[in-house]
Amino acid sequence: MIEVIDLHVGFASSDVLKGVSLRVAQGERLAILGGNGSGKSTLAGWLAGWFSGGTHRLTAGGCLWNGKPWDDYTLVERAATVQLVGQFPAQHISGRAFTVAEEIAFGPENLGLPHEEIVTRRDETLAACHLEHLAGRDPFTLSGGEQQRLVIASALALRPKLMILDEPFSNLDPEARSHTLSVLNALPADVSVIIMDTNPDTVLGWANRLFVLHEGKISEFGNIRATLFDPTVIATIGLPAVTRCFLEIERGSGSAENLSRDNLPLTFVEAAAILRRSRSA
Amino acid sequence: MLNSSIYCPGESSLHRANPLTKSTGLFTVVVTSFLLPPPALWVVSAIILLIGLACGVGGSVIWRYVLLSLPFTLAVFVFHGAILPRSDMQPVLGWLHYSLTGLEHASLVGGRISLILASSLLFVSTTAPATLLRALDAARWPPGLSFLLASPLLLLDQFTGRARAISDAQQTRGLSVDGSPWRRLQALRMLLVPLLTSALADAQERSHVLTARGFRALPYRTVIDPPADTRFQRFLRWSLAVFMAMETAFMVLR
Ligand SMILES: Nc1ncnc2c1ncn2[C@@H]1O[C@H](COP(=O)(O)OP(=O)(O)OP(=O)(O)O)[C@@H](O)[C@H]1O
Ligand SMILES: [Mg+2]
Repeated sequence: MIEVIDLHVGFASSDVLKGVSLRVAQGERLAILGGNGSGKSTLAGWLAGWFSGGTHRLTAGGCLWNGKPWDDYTLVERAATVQLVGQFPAQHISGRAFTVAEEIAFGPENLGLPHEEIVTRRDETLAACHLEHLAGRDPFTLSGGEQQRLVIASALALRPKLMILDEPFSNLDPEARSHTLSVLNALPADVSVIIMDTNPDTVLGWANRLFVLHEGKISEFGNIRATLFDPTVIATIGLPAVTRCFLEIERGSGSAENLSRDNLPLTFVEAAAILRRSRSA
Repeated sequence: MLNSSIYCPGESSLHRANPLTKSTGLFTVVVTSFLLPPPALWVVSAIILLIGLACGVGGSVIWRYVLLSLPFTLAVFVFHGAILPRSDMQPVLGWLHYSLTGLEHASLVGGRISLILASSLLFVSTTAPATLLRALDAARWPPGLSFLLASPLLLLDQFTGRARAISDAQQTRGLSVDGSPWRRLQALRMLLVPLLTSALADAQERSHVLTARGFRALPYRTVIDPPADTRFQRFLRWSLAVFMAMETAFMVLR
Protein backbone atom coordinates (compact mmCIF):
# COMPACT_ATOMS: atom_id res chain seq x y z
CA MET A 1 0.00 0.00 0.00
CA ILE A 2 1.29 3.44 -0.86
CA GLU A 3 0.58 6.39 1.35
CA VAL A 4 1.30 10.01 0.61
CA ILE A 5 1.27 12.12 3.72
CA ASP A 6 0.90 15.86 3.43
CA LEU A 7 3.42 16.13 0.60
CA HIS A 8 4.74 19.64 0.02
CA VAL A 9 7.05 19.92 -2.96
CA GLY A 10 8.26 22.91 -4.90
CA PHE A 11 10.90 24.22 -7.22
CA ALA A 12 13.19 27.12 -6.57
CA SER A 13 10.55 29.68 -7.54
CA SER A 14 7.21 28.07 -6.80
CA ASP A 15 5.35 25.44 -4.80
CA VAL A 16 3.79 22.71 -6.91
CA LEU A 17 2.27 20.30 -4.40
CA LYS A 18 0.86 22.04 -1.36
CA GLY A 19 -0.12 19.28 1.01
CA VAL A 20 -1.13 16.22 -0.98
CA SER A 21 -2.38 13.22 0.98
CA LEU A 22 -3.41 9.98 -0.61
CA ARG A 23 -3.76 6.37 0.37
CA VAL A 24 -3.90 3.65 -2.27
CA ALA A 25 -4.75 0.12 -1.20
CA GLN A 26 -3.63 -3.06 -2.96
CA GLY A 27 -5.38 -3.66 -6.23
CA GLU A 28 -6.97 -0.24 -6.55
CA ARG A 29 -7.25 1.39 -9.98
CA LEU A 30 -6.81 5.10 -9.57
CA ALA A 31 -7.05 7.98 -11.99
CA ILE A 32 -5.60 11.35 -11.10
CA LEU A 33 -6.75 14.14 -13.39
CA GLY A 34 -5.25 17.58 -13.62
CA GLY A 35 -4.57 20.33 -16.12
CA ASN A 36 -1.18 21.16 -17.61
CA GLY A 37 1.26 22.16 -14.92
CA SER A 38 -0.96 20.95 -12.10
CA GLY A 39 1.86 18.74 -10.82
CA LYS A 40 0.85 15.29 -12.11
CA SER A 41 4.34 14.37 -13.28
CA THR A 42 5.83 15.75 -10.09
CA LEU A 43 3.48 13.69 -7.94
CA ALA A 44 4.09 10.61 -10.10
CA GLY A 45 7.84 10.95 -9.57
CA TRP A 46 7.46 11.24 -5.81
CA LEU A 47 5.07 8.29 -5.66
CA ALA A 48 7.66 6.17 -7.43
CA GLY A 49 10.44 7.38 -5.13
CA TRP A 50 12.39 8.93 -8.01
CA PHE A 51 13.04 12.28 -6.45
CA SER A 52 14.55 12.94 -3.15
CA GLY A 53 16.80 15.81 -4.02
CA GLY A 54 17.99 17.65 -7.08
CA THR A 55 15.94 20.60 -8.18
CA HIS A 56 12.93 19.39 -6.20
CA ARG A 57 12.45 20.95 -2.82
CA LEU A 58 10.59 18.82 -0.30
CA THR A 59 9.27 21.10 2.42
CA ALA A 60 7.06 18.68 4.32
CA GLY A 61 5.52 15.24 4.21
CA GLY A 62 6.56 12.21 2.21
CA CYS A 63 5.62 8.87 0.70
CA LEU A 64 5.50 5.51 2.41
CA TRP A 65 5.30 2.06 0.85
CA ASN A 66 3.92 -0.40 3.40
CA GLY A 67 4.82 2.03 6.15
CA LYS A 68 8.44 2.72 5.15
CA PRO A 69 9.89 5.46 2.92
CA TRP A 70 11.37 4.37 -0.41
CA ASP A 71 14.88 5.13 0.82
CA ASP A 72 14.57 2.23 3.27
CA TYR A 73 14.23 -0.29 0.46
CA THR A 74 17.08 -1.67 -1.63
CA LEU A 75 17.20 -0.80 -5.32
CA VAL A 76 16.30 -4.39 -6.19
CA GLU A 77 13.23 -4.28 -3.94
CA ARG A 78 12.18 -0.97 -5.40
CA ALA A 79 12.56 -2.13 -9.00
CA ALA A 80 10.39 -5.14 -8.28
CA THR A 81 7.81 -3.04 -6.41
CA VAL A 82 7.13 0.18 -8.26
CA GLN A 83 7.41 1.15 -11.92
CA LEU A 84 6.74 4.56 -13.37
CA VAL A 85 5.93 4.97 -17.05
CA GLY A 86 6.77 8.56 -17.82
CA GLN A 87 5.14 11.08 -20.05
CA PHE A 88 7.86 11.15 -22.73
CA PRO A 89 8.56 7.59 -23.86
CA ALA A 90 11.81 8.37 -25.67
CA GLN A 91 13.33 9.46 -22.36
CA HIS A 92 12.27 6.22 -20.74
CA ILE A 93 14.12 3.88 -23.04
CA SER A 94 17.14 2.53 -21.23
CA GLY A 95 19.74 3.30 -23.91
CA ARG A 96 21.29 -0.05 -23.11
CA ALA A 97 19.37 -2.34 -25.44
CA PHE A 98 19.73 -2.68 -29.17
CA THR A 99 16.39 -4.37 -29.77
CA VAL A 100 12.88 -4.22 -28.36
CA ALA A 101 13.23 -7.74 -26.94
CA GLU A 102 16.48 -6.78 -25.18
CA GLU A 103 14.88 -3.65 -23.78
CA ILE A 104 12.11 -5.70 -22.19
CA ALA A 105 14.60 -8.21 -20.78
CA PHE A 106 16.84 -5.39 -19.48
CA GLY A 107 15.09 -4.93 -16.11
CA PRO A 108 14.76 -8.63 -15.26
CA GLU A 109 18.40 -9.17 -16.27
CA ASN A 110 19.45 -6.43 -13.87
CA LEU A 111 17.69 -8.21 -11.03
CA GLY A 112 19.79 -11.28 -11.68
CA LEU A 113 16.72 -13.48 -12.15
CA PRO A 114 17.18 -17.03 -13.44
CA HIS A 115 17.61 -17.42 -17.17
CA GLU A 116 14.30 -19.19 -17.88
CA GLU A 117 12.34 -16.71 -15.78
CA ILE A 118 13.69 -13.80 -17.84
CA VAL A 119 12.92 -15.50 -21.15
CA THR A 120 9.38 -16.32 -19.99
CA ARG A 121 8.74 -12.77 -18.81
CA ARG A 122 10.17 -11.31 -22.00
CA ASP A 123 8.08 -13.49 -24.28
CA GLU A 124 4.90 -13.09 -22.25
CA THR A 125 5.27 -9.33 -22.15
CA LEU A 126 6.05 -9.09 -25.85
CA ALA A 127 2.88 -11.01 -26.59
CA ALA A 128 0.69 -9.19 -24.06
CA CYS A 129 1.70 -5.77 -25.35
CA HIS A 130 1.43 -6.74 -29.03
CA LEU A 131 5.09 -6.05 -29.67
CA GLU A 132 6.11 -9.38 -31.15
CA HIS A 133 6.38 -8.04 -34.68
CA LEU A 134 8.78 -5.33 -33.44
CA ALA A 135 10.92 -7.62 -31.26
CA GLY A 136 14.05 -7.18 -33.38
CA ARG A 137 13.78 -3.44 -33.98
CA ASP A 138 16.00 -0.74 -32.48
CA PRO A 139 13.89 0.94 -29.75
CA PHE A 140 14.88 4.42 -30.89
CA THR A 141 13.52 3.84 -34.38
CA LEU A 142 10.00 3.05 -33.14
CA SER A 143 7.15 5.51 -33.53
CA GLY A 144 6.01 7.47 -30.47
CA GLY A 145 3.10 5.17 -29.77
CA GLU A 146 5.20 2.06 -30.25
CA GLN A 147 7.79 3.47 -27.86
CA GLN A 148 5.05 4.17 -25.36
CA ARG A 149 3.92 0.55 -25.53
CA LEU A 150 7.52 -0.60 -25.21
CA VAL A 151 8.05 1.47 -22.06
CA ILE A 152 4.86 0.04 -20.58
CA ALA A 153 6.03 -3.47 -21.50
CA SER A 154 9.48 -2.91 -19.99
CA ALA A 155 7.87 -1.78 -16.76
CA LEU A 156 5.45 -4.72 -16.69
CA ALA A 157 8.31 -7.20 -17.20
CA LEU A 158 9.52 -6.29 -13.71
CA ARG A 159 6.14 -7.45 -12.33
CA PRO A 160 5.69 -4.43 -10.03
CA LYS A 161 3.12 -4.21 -7.25
CA LEU A 162 2.44 -0.57 -8.11
CA MET A 163 2.29 0.78 -11.65
CA ILE A 164 2.19 4.53 -12.19
CA LEU A 165 1.50 5.78 -15.70
CA ASP A 166 1.89 9.46 -16.56
CA GLU A 167 -0.40 10.37 -19.47
CA PRO A 168 0.10 6.96 -21.07
CA PHE A 169 -2.51 7.50 -23.75
CA SER A 170 -1.28 10.73 -25.30
CA ASN A 171 0.65 8.90 -28.04
CA LEU A 172 -1.70 5.98 -28.54
CA ASP A 173 -4.34 5.43 -31.18
CA PRO A 174 -7.84 4.46 -29.96
CA GLU A 175 -7.19 0.77 -30.47
CA ALA A 176 -3.89 0.87 -28.58
CA ARG A 177 -5.60 2.82 -25.80
CA SER A 178 -8.25 0.26 -25.17
CA HIS A 179 -5.69 -2.49 -25.54
CA THR A 180 -3.41 -0.85 -22.96
CA LEU A 181 -6.34 -0.56 -20.58
CA SER A 182 -7.13 -4.22 -21.05
CA VAL A 183 -3.48 -5.12 -20.39
CA LEU A 184 -3.66 -3.10 -17.17
CA ASN A 185 -6.95 -4.77 -16.26
CA ALA A 186 -5.40 -8.19 -16.79
CA LEU A 187 -2.74 -7.49 -14.13
CA PRO A 188 -2.95 -9.61 -10.99
CA ALA A 189 -5.59 -8.42 -8.54
CA ASP A 190 -3.05 -7.25 -5.96
CA VAL A 191 -1.35 -4.77 -8.32
CA SER A 192 -2.33 -1.15 -7.81
CA VAL A 193 -2.41 1.08 -10.86
CA ILE A 194 -2.36 4.86 -10.90
CA ILE A 195 -2.94 6.76 -14.13
CA MET A 196 -2.31 10.48 -14.46
CA ASP A 197 -4.24 12.17 -17.23
CA THR A 198 -5.54 15.53 -18.36
CA ASN A 199 -8.72 14.13 -19.76
CA PRO A 200 -11.40 11.96 -18.14
CA ASP A 201 -12.56 10.15 -21.28
CA THR A 202 -10.19 7.18 -21.46
CA VAL A 203 -9.92 6.39 -17.76
CA LEU A 204 -13.61 6.67 -16.90
CA GLY A 205 -14.97 3.11 -17.16
CA TRP A 206 -11.64 1.82 -15.90
CA ALA A 207 -10.88 3.64 -12.65
CA ASN A 208 -12.35 2.66 -9.27
CA ARG A 209 -11.41 6.01 -7.82
CA LEU A 210 -10.98 9.41 -9.35
CA PHE A 211 -8.89 12.25 -7.95
CA VAL A 212 -8.39 15.74 -9.17
CA LEU A 213 -5.16 17.64 -8.75
CA HIS A 214 -5.71 21.37 -8.77
CA GLU A 215 -3.68 24.27 -7.39
CA GLY A 216 -1.39 21.95 -5.51
CA LYS A 217 -4.14 20.06 -3.72
CA ILE A 218 -5.65 16.69 -4.47
CA SER A 219 -9.33 16.01 -3.94
CA GLU A 220 -11.79 13.17 -4.19
CA PHE A 221 -15.39 14.30 -3.84
CA GLY A 222 -17.01 11.16 -2.46
CA ASN A 223 -17.50 9.37 -5.75
CA ILE A 224 -16.51 9.64 -9.40
CA ARG A 225 -19.72 11.41 -10.45
CA ALA A 226 -19.53 13.97 -7.70
CA THR A 227 -15.92 14.65 -8.62
CA LEU A 228 -16.64 15.17 -12.29
CA PHE A 229 -19.55 17.54 -11.69
CA ASP A 230 -17.72 19.69 -9.20
CA PRO A 231 -17.73 23.24 -10.65
CA THR A 232 -13.97 23.75 -10.30
CA VAL A 233 -13.34 20.39 -11.94
CA ILE A 234 -15.67 21.25 -14.82
CA ALA A 235 -13.80 24.52 -15.20
CA THR A 236 -10.33 22.93 -15.27
CA ILE A 237 -10.66 19.58 -17.00
CA GLY A 238 -14.16 19.70 -18.43
CA LEU A 239 -16.79 17.00 -18.66
CA PRO A 240 -16.30 13.75 -20.57
CA ALA A 241 -17.09 14.02 -24.29
CA VAL A 242 -20.15 11.75 -24.02
CA THR A 243 -21.59 13.81 -21.18
CA ARG A 244 -21.04 17.06 -23.05
CA CYS A 245 -22.77 15.59 -26.06
CA PHE A 246 -25.83 14.60 -24.01
CA LEU A 247 -26.00 18.01 -22.37
CA GLU A 248 -25.99 19.56 -25.82
CA ILE A 249 -28.83 17.32 -26.97
CA GLU A 250 -30.75 18.00 -23.75
CA ARG A 251 -30.62 21.71 -24.37
CA GLY A 252 -32.10 21.34 -27.85
CA SER A 253 -34.95 18.97 -27.17
CA GLY A 254 -36.67 17.24 -24.31
CA SER A 255 -35.86 13.54 -24.20
CA ALA A 256 -37.63 10.59 -22.72
CA GLU A 257 -35.58 10.63 -19.54
CA ASN A 258 -35.00 13.56 -17.31
CA LEU A 259 -31.24 13.86 -17.37
CA SER A 260 -29.42 15.53 -14.51
CA ARG A 261 -26.07 15.29 -12.78
CA ASP A 262 -27.26 12.10 -11.13
CA ASN A 263 -27.90 10.16 -14.31
CA LEU A 264 -26.14 11.91 -17.20
CA PRO A 265 -23.99 9.30 -18.92
CA LEU A 266 -20.24 9.47 -18.32
CA THR A 267 -19.13 6.66 -20.62
CA PHE A 268 -20.20 5.20 -23.93
CA VAL A 269 -21.67 2.20 -22.17
CA GLU A 270 -23.92 4.37 -20.03
CA ALA A 271 -24.89 6.52 -23.02
CA ALA A 272 -25.81 3.46 -25.07
CA ALA A 273 -28.04 2.18 -22.25
CA ILE A 274 -29.92 5.49 -22.09
CA LEU A 275 -30.39 5.61 -25.85
CA ARG A 276 -31.64 2.05 -25.92
CA ARG A 277 -34.18 2.82 -23.18
CA SER A 278 -35.41 5.98 -24.88
CA ARG A 279 -35.77 4.16 -28.18
CA SER A 280 -37.85 1.38 -26.70
CA ALA A 281 -39.99 3.86 -24.75
CA MET B 1 26.17 7.54 -36.97
CA LEU B 2 29.53 6.41 -38.29
CA ASN B 3 30.04 4.23 -35.22
CA SER B 4 26.74 2.46 -35.25
CA SER B 5 26.92 1.55 -38.91
CA ILE B 6 30.49 0.20 -39.12
CA TYR B 7 29.44 -3.28 -38.10
CA CYS B 8 28.90 -5.53 -41.13
CA PRO B 9 27.00 -8.70 -40.31
CA GLY B 10 28.64 -11.88 -41.49
CA GLU B 11 29.37 -15.51 -40.78
CA SER B 12 33.20 -15.59 -40.86
CA SER B 13 35.10 -17.19 -38.00
CA LEU B 14 36.12 -13.71 -36.90
CA HIS B 15 32.44 -12.72 -36.71
CA ARG B 16 31.67 -15.79 -34.67
CA ALA B 17 34.61 -15.44 -32.28
CA ASN B 18 33.81 -14.26 -28.77
CA PRO B 19 34.13 -10.45 -28.57
CA LEU B 20 36.38 -10.79 -25.53
CA THR B 21 38.84 -12.85 -27.59
CA LYS B 22 38.73 -10.25 -30.34
CA SER B 23 39.27 -7.36 -27.96
CA THR B 24 42.19 -9.19 -26.32
CA GLY B 25 43.62 -9.67 -29.81
CA LEU B 26 43.11 -5.99 -30.52
CA PHE B 27 44.92 -4.97 -27.33
CA THR B 28 47.78 -7.32 -28.17
CA VAL B 29 48.18 -5.68 -31.57
CA VAL B 30 48.16 -2.22 -29.96
CA VAL B 31 50.83 -3.18 -27.41
CA THR B 32 52.91 -4.98 -30.03
CA SER B 33 52.79 -1.95 -32.33
CA PHE B 34 55.13 -0.20 -29.89
CA LEU B 35 57.77 -2.88 -30.40
CA LEU B 36 57.68 -3.42 -34.16
CA PRO B 37 60.04 -1.59 -36.55
CA PRO B 38 58.50 0.59 -39.31
CA PRO B 39 58.49 -1.91 -42.21
CA ALA B 40 56.84 -4.59 -40.07
CA LEU B 41 54.16 -2.11 -38.96
CA TRP B 42 53.10 -1.48 -42.54
CA VAL B 43 53.30 -5.18 -43.49
CA VAL B 44 51.12 -6.21 -40.54
CA SER B 45 48.64 -3.41 -41.36
CA ALA B 46 48.37 -4.83 -44.87
CA ILE B 47 47.88 -8.35 -43.50
CA ILE B 48 45.07 -7.11 -41.26
CA LEU B 49 43.34 -5.42 -44.19
CA LEU B 50 43.67 -8.71 -46.11
CA ILE B 51 42.08 -10.59 -43.20
CA GLY B 52 39.23 -8.07 -43.44
CA LEU B 53 38.82 -8.96 -47.11
CA ALA B 54 38.80 -12.67 -46.26
CA CYS B 55 36.09 -12.07 -43.65
CA GLY B 56 33.88 -10.24 -46.10
CA VAL B 57 34.23 -6.82 -44.45
CA GLY B 58 37.14 -5.66 -46.65
CA GLY B 59 35.22 -2.93 -48.46
CA SER B 60 33.96 -1.19 -45.36
CA VAL B 61 37.29 -1.57 -43.52
CA ILE B 62 39.49 -0.45 -46.39
CA TRP B 63 37.66 2.71 -47.38
CA ARG B 64 37.42 3.84 -43.79
CA TYR B 65 41.08 3.00 -43.32
CA VAL B 66 42.06 5.10 -46.33
CA LEU B 67 39.72 7.93 -45.40
CA LEU B 68 40.97 8.14 -41.82
CA SER B 69 44.66 7.33 -42.19
CA LEU B 70 45.56 9.08 -45.45
CA PRO B 71 45.35 12.70 -44.24
CA PHE B 72 47.18 11.84 -41.05
CA THR B 73 49.91 9.82 -42.78
CA LEU B 74 50.49 12.56 -45.33
CA ALA B 75 50.68 15.21 -42.62
CA VAL B 76 53.14 13.14 -40.55
CA PHE B 77 55.41 12.52 -43.54
CA VAL B 78 55.38 16.15 -44.63
CA PHE B 79 55.91 17.50 -41.14
CA HIS B 80 58.65 15.12 -39.99
CA GLY B 81 60.24 14.58 -43.38
CA ALA B 82 60.30 18.09 -44.81
CA ILE B 83 59.31 20.77 -42.31
CA LEU B 84 60.70 19.97 -38.87
CA PRO B 85 64.37 21.10 -38.95
CA ARG B 86 66.78 18.19 -38.50
CA SER B 87 70.57 17.91 -38.76
CA ASP B 88 70.49 15.72 -41.89
CA MET B 89 68.31 17.97 -44.04
CA GLN B 90 69.11 17.46 -47.75
CA PRO B 91 68.05 19.88 -50.48
CA VAL B 92 65.76 18.39 -53.13
CA LEU B 93 64.52 21.20 -55.28
CA GLY B 94 64.77 24.92 -54.59
CA TRP B 95 63.48 25.57 -51.11
CA LEU B 96 62.30 21.97 -50.58
CA HIS B 97 64.42 19.91 -48.18
CA TYR B 98 64.01 16.44 -46.79
CA SER B 99 65.47 14.49 -43.88
CA LEU B 100 66.01 10.74 -43.95
CA THR B 101 65.76 10.32 -40.19
CA GLY B 102 62.63 12.46 -40.28
CA LEU B 103 61.07 10.19 -42.87
CA GLU B 104 62.01 7.13 -40.82
CA HIS B 105 60.39 8.65 -37.76
CA ALA B 106 57.28 9.50 -39.80
CA SER B 107 57.13 5.94 -41.06
CA LEU B 108 57.27 4.69 -37.47
CA VAL B 109 54.53 7.03 -36.17
CA GLY B 110 52.38 6.63 -39.27
CA GLY B 111 52.83 2.84 -39.23
CA ARG B 112 51.77 2.59 -35.61
CA ILE B 113 48.64 4.64 -36.24
CA SER B 114 47.94 2.64 -39.38
CA LEU B 115 48.22 -0.66 -37.53
CA ILE B 116 46.07 0.45 -34.61
CA LEU B 117 43.49 1.91 -36.98
CA ALA B 118 43.35 -1.15 -39.25
CA SER B 119 42.95 -3.57 -36.36
CA SER B 120 40.35 -1.42 -34.60
CA LEU B 121 38.34 -1.16 -37.81
CA LEU B 122 38.52 -4.91 -38.27
CA PHE B 123 37.34 -5.36 -34.70
CA VAL B 124 34.35 -3.03 -34.91
CA SER B 125 33.23 -4.22 -38.32
CA THR B 126 33.11 -7.85 -37.21
CA THR B 127 31.67 -7.26 -33.72
CA ALA B 128 28.06 -6.23 -33.16
CA PRO B 129 27.92 -3.77 -30.23
CA ALA B 130 25.12 -5.77 -28.65
CA THR B 131 27.23 -8.93 -28.70
CA LEU B 132 30.18 -7.12 -27.14
CA LEU B 133 27.96 -5.89 -24.32
CA ARG B 134 26.51 -9.31 -23.68
CA ALA B 135 30.02 -10.75 -23.59
CA LEU B 136 31.10 -8.13 -21.03
CA ASP B 137 28.00 -8.78 -18.92
CA ALA B 138 28.51 -12.53 -19.11
CA ALA B 139 32.11 -12.03 -17.97
CA ARG B 140 30.63 -10.04 -15.06
CA TRP B 141 32.22 -6.75 -15.93
CA PRO B 142 30.66 -3.85 -14.04
CA PRO B 143 27.36 -2.95 -15.79
CA GLY B 144 28.24 0.75 -15.65
CA LEU B 145 31.27 0.22 -17.86
CA SER B 146 29.35 -1.59 -20.55
CA PHE B 147 26.69 1.11 -20.41
CA LEU B 148 29.36 3.71 -21.04
CA LEU B 149 30.25 1.81 -24.21
CA ALA B 150 26.71 1.25 -25.39
CA SER B 151 24.87 4.47 -24.84
CA PRO B 152 26.89 6.68 -27.20
CA LEU B 153 26.30 4.17 -29.97
CA LEU B 154 22.59 4.13 -29.31
CA LEU B 155 21.99 7.73 -28.42
CA LEU B 156 24.06 9.28 -31.20
CA ASP B 157 21.40 8.62 -33.83
CA GLN B 158 18.73 10.03 -31.59
CA PHE B 159 20.88 13.06 -30.88
CA THR B 160 21.55 13.83 -34.55
CA GLY B 161 17.84 13.35 -35.27
CA ARG B 162 16.95 15.86 -32.59
CA ALA B 163 19.56 18.35 -33.82
CA ARG B 164 17.98 18.18 -37.25
CA ALA B 165 14.48 18.63 -35.82
CA ILE B 166 15.50 21.69 -33.79
CA SER B 167 17.29 23.18 -36.76
CA ASP B 168 14.25 22.58 -38.98
CA ALA B 169 11.95 24.14 -36.41
CA GLN B 170 14.18 27.19 -36.13
CA GLN B 171 14.39 27.56 -39.87
CA THR B 172 10.64 27.43 -40.29
CA ARG B 173 10.51 30.19 -37.70
CA GLY B 174 12.85 32.25 -39.83
CA LEU B 175 16.34 31.53 -38.48
CA SER B 176 18.76 31.68 -41.38
CA VAL B 177 21.40 28.98 -41.38
CA ASP B 178 23.27 29.94 -44.50
CA GLY B 179 25.06 33.08 -45.46
CA SER B 180 28.27 34.41 -43.99
CA PRO B 181 30.34 32.23 -41.66
CA TRP B 182 29.40 34.58 -38.83
CA ARG B 183 25.69 34.02 -39.46
CA ARG B 184 26.29 30.29 -39.50
CA LEU B 185 28.13 30.45 -36.22
CA GLN B 186 25.16 32.32 -34.74
CA ALA B 187 22.82 29.63 -36.05
CA LEU B 188 25.01 26.94 -34.52
CA ARG B 189 24.86 28.65 -31.14
CA MET B 190 21.07 28.85 -31.41
CA LEU B 191 21.05 25.13 -32.15
CA LEU B 192 23.39 24.11 -29.35
CA VAL B 193 21.49 25.69 -26.48
CA PRO B 194 18.25 23.73 -26.90
CA LEU B 195 20.20 20.62 -27.86
CA LEU B 196 22.34 20.67 -24.73
CA THR B 197 19.55 21.57 -22.32
CA SER B 198 17.35 18.82 -23.69
CA ALA B 199 20.25 16.36 -23.55
CA LEU B 200 20.82 17.24 -19.89
CA ALA B 201 17.14 16.85 -19.04
CA ASP B 202 17.14 13.50 -20.84
CA ALA B 203 20.24 12.33 -19.04
CA GLN B 204 18.70 13.06 -15.66
CA GLU B 205 15.42 11.37 -16.58
CA ARG B 206 17.24 8.38 -18.04
CA SER B 207 19.35 7.93 -14.94
CA HIS B 208 16.12 7.71 -12.93
CA VAL B 209 14.78 5.17 -15.39
CA LEU B 210 17.91 3.04 -15.19
CA THR B 211 17.84 3.05 -11.39
CA ALA B 212 14.12 2.22 -11.40
CA ARG B 213 14.75 -0.77 -13.66
CA GLY B 214 17.36 -2.09 -11.24
CA PHE B 215 20.42 -1.15 -13.28
CA ARG B 216 23.51 -1.50 -11.06
CA ALA B 217 21.31 -2.64 -8.18
CA LEU B 218 23.45 -5.78 -8.18
CA PRO B 219 27.14 -5.99 -9.08
CA TYR B 220 26.33 -8.31 -12.01
CA ARG B 221 23.42 -9.05 -14.31
CA THR B 222 22.03 -12.22 -15.83
CA VAL B 223 22.63 -12.47 -19.56
CA ILE B 224 20.04 -14.51 -21.35
CA ASP B 225 21.99 -15.22 -24.52
CA PRO B 226 25.72 -14.89 -23.87
CA PRO B 227 27.96 -15.09 -26.97
CA ALA B 228 29.51 -18.51 -27.53
CA ASP B 229 32.86 -19.14 -25.89
CA THR B 230 35.23 -22.11 -26.19
CA ARG B 231 38.00 -23.58 -24.12
CA PHE B 232 40.41 -22.79 -26.94
CA GLN B 233 39.39 -19.12 -26.93
CA ARG B 234 39.81 -18.89 -23.19
CA PHE B 235 43.26 -20.43 -23.55
CA LEU B 236 44.07 -17.98 -26.35
CA ARG B 237 43.00 -15.01 -24.24
CA TRP B 238 45.18 -16.05 -21.33
CA SER B 239 48.14 -16.65 -23.63
CA LEU B 240 47.72 -13.24 -25.25
CA ALA B 241 47.48 -11.64 -21.82
CA VAL B 242 50.74 -13.28 -20.73
CA PHE B 243 52.34 -12.25 -24.00
CA MET B 244 51.23 -8.62 -23.51
CA ALA B 245 52.59 -8.65 -19.97
CA MET B 246 55.95 -9.87 -21.30
CA GLU B 247 55.99 -7.21 -24.01
CA THR B 248 55.20 -4.51 -21.46
CA ALA B 249 57.93 -5.77 -19.12
CA PHE B 250 60.38 -5.77 -22.02
CA MET B 251 59.48 -2.19 -22.96
CA VAL B 252 59.83 -0.96 -19.39
CA LEU B 253 63.13 -2.74 -18.68
CA ARG B 254 64.71 -2.11 -22.05
N1 LIG C 1 12.64 21.23 -13.08
C1 LIG C 1 11.72 22.17 -12.84
N2 LIG C 1 12.08 23.41 -12.44
C2 LIG C 1 11.16 24.37 -12.19
N3 LIG C 1 9.84 24.17 -12.30
C3 LIG C 1 9.41 22.97 -12.69
C4 LIG C 1 10.31 21.90 -12.99
N4 LIG C 1 9.59 20.82 -13.36
C5 LIG C 1 8.30 21.20 -13.31
N5 LIG C 1 8.18 22.48 -12.91
C6 LIG C 1 6.92 23.21 -12.71
O1 LIG C 1 6.12 22.49 -11.81
C7 LIG C 1 4.76 22.52 -12.21
C8 LIG C 1 4.21 21.11 -12.29
O2 LIG C 1 4.88 20.42 -13.31
P1 LIG C 1 4.44 18.97 -13.75
O3 LIG C 1 5.38 18.53 -14.81
O4 LIG C 1 4.34 18.10 -12.56
O5 LIG C 1 2.99 19.23 -14.36
P2 LIG C 1 2.01 18.22 -15.10
O6 LIG C 1 0.74 18.23 -14.33
O7 LIG C 1 2.67 16.93 -15.29
O8 LIG C 1 1.76 18.95 -16.48
P3 LIG C 1 1.53 18.33 -17.95
O9 LIG C 1 0.10 17.98 -18.06
O10 LIG C 1 1.86 19.47 -18.83
O11 LIG C 1 2.43 17.18 -18.09
C9 LIG C 1 4.70 23.28 -13.52
O12 LIG C 1 4.27 24.58 -13.26
C10 LIG C 1 6.13 23.29 -13.99
O13 LIG C 1 6.40 24.47 -14.68
MG1 LIG D 1 3.26 15.86 -16.88
